[in-house]
Amino acid sequence: MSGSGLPYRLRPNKYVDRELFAELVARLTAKHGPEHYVYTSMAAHHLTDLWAIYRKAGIEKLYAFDMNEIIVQRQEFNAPVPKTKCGNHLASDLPGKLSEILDEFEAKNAIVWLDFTDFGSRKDQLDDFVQLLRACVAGDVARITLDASEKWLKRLLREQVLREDVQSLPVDGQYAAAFRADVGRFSPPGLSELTVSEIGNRLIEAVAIAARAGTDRTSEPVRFWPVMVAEYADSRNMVTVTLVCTEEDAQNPAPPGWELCSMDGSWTEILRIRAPELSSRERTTIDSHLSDPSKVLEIMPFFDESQIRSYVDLHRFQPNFQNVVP
Amino acid sequence: MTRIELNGAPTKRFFVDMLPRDIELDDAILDLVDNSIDGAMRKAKNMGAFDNRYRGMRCELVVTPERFSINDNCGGIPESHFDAAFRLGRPTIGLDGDLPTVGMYGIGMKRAIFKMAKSATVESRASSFCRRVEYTAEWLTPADNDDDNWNLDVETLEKDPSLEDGVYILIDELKDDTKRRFSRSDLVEELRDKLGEVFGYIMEAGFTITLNGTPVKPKRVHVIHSESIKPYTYFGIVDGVEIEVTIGVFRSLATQGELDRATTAAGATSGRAGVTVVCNDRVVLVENTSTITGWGVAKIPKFHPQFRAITGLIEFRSDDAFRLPVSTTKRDLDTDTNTYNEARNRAMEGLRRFTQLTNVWKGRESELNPELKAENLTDARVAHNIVMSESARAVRGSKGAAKQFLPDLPRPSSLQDPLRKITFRRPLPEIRKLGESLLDDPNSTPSEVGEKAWEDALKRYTSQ
Repeated sequence: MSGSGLPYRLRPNKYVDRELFAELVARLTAKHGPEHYVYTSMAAHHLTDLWAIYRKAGIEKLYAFDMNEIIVQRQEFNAPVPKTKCGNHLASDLPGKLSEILDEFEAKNAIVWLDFTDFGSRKDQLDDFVQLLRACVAGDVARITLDASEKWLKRLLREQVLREDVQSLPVDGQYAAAFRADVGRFSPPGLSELTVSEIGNRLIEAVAIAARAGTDRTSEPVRFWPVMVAEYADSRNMVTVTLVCTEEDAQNPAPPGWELCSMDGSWTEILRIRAPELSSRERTTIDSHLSDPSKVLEIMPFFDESQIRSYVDLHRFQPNFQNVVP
Repeated sequence: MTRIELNGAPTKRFFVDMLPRDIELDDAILDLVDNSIDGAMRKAKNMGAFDNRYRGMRCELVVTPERFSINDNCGGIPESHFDAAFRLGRPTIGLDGDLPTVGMYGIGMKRAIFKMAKSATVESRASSFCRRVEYTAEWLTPADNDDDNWNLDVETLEKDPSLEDGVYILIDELKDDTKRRFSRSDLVEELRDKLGEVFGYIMEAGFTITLNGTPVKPKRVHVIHSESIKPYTYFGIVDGVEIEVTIGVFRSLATQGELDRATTAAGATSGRAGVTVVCNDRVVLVENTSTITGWGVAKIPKFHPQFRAITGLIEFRSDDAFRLPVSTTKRDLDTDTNTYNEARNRAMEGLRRFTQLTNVWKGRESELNPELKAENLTDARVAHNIVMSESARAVRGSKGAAKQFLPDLPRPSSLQDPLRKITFRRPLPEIRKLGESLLDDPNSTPSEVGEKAWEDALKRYTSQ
């Protein structure tokens, strides 16, 4: 996690994404019960997602890790429950440690979230994700979050010495070149132009390519189902993909009533989380017109319809921190 | 219209002259030793031996400017194999059935003779079937119109009870360039080293090789195995092939001074670093640092002098030699197999850990290096077995068929790190001048000069 420490009022869409994920985990784990699972993530020093998983899904077998020793000490201090364990290592060490972590907690399956919110190489991050997927067995859940912002590509263009033929391209062509260079072998084939609005979609395709690579193994063949694919933006555009691992010929493992994925396992259902950051007055206004969102636009024409729709559709997952909101 | 016929058949001269050109002289000699070992494997199978399975079997090489000979006691060429042994290429692929041997009697013996000899004899004693074949000077230097004369004279020998069954190849008329090479003792010693590297594991199983009367010392991979530093290990079975992987370090980590010297010294090498690959005791790749063993693939960095402490061993074993991921040349891997991919993925897990080790200790190698002591060097196979029996865990999803051990390698404590790195670039003449003034050596490395200049400045300004 970025661990930026920004107040949640400034990152409401990340909050919604996290709450949705916690709800999904609660539903996925209902059959076998929370004792069957370990939840693990990088979590930063506040362990926000661990708290969310613990509250929504009741999972107490929690493992957080970070490469920075100081952050690990803070994680230990802020742990939701005494059972929580914290490790000082890299994300790339996690796949190798999974067996050990599961043994220590006496759990059967793992739920892992690699929340890469920094500007590291996408190829490296996807390589880490592939290694994680290769360590997964049927019943595990693996999730990845990646930065999909224009800032990422601009920084690459600033830092890299581009070939002359790339320098002469229009912006979309340069963005595509920078994308291909940073995403490497996971880049969707034939990508020659890339608009800002399409960065998220192309990165999701890269994750799909990584998911196929994750099935490469010599033990029992498996399949990875995308049960939630989302794009959201607070200060930066992000994409997040949640996969469930099943045996190769199993049915879609999405929980009953879960409408955020396509039943055939395709990657076309992408949830766009676009709720605006609201003042308490704006929020109560929308809340009092939930059954007729179009009325909201008459009262508050400074919002667009997609923002209001996004808020209404995901209403019960919206943050409600009135004591920190002016 | 007049029709004529052309003879499109290959010429004998083509084979005798061109075939040897695609192989180095040392590799041609290794092929001959390989043939002896194939015989040893056949003999060992017939005896039902396993541990120390080649005990008593040997191959004696004589390499001098006057002659070359190879003499083994590995059972000789059976009557059923005899004709095929002297034909170019193997007319019957399945001659050795399920023996873990590849390429025997295919091309190696002939190519080696064509490479070295003006004339040669091959004697084979296999129980009561004893023969001598002569490659005369006339046969080995074919005239342009000599296409049809492929026949070899074969003499039947009396069985001699004082001689063990085996093959004896004698070349007492060497080609001029071969004579020149064999007159150089340094090149003969290079051959000795190669023999030790390539056949080290077969020698561990009892086979002996002598060169000019002196036993060849087997070379094997060693790793440091101590309380704080254990190698990465893996065992699994894929498509009927057992895979064992061991990755670790064999020496202290390279310091910046050493790296500076490595980038400026001519002929700087990786030493014993890299991954060695063995198929059924036969070394296929020695100290490899390429993508074949995982270097430079995915997140694993390309080999660099910083990683010169890292070594490894990948072993493949199978009773069915056709399952081994080895190419037809026996000196390379078949990379289009699940077996190879699994082994490489596991080796990469080990490489990732140990390259990370060098990264986290960069600039602080002197704090870790006391733990990387020569006295803790252990044969990689031995270290593998100890670690697997004491500490390995089942690999998830393998149902216990695969196990691995992931070492927790030491990390410097960031809480205690008082050090920060200082780097800058200065012209070489300035570095040389300061090296001479401060260290009496203009060839001092930049890091040595920088450290000395810092120490002097610190003394000067802290004493004021």
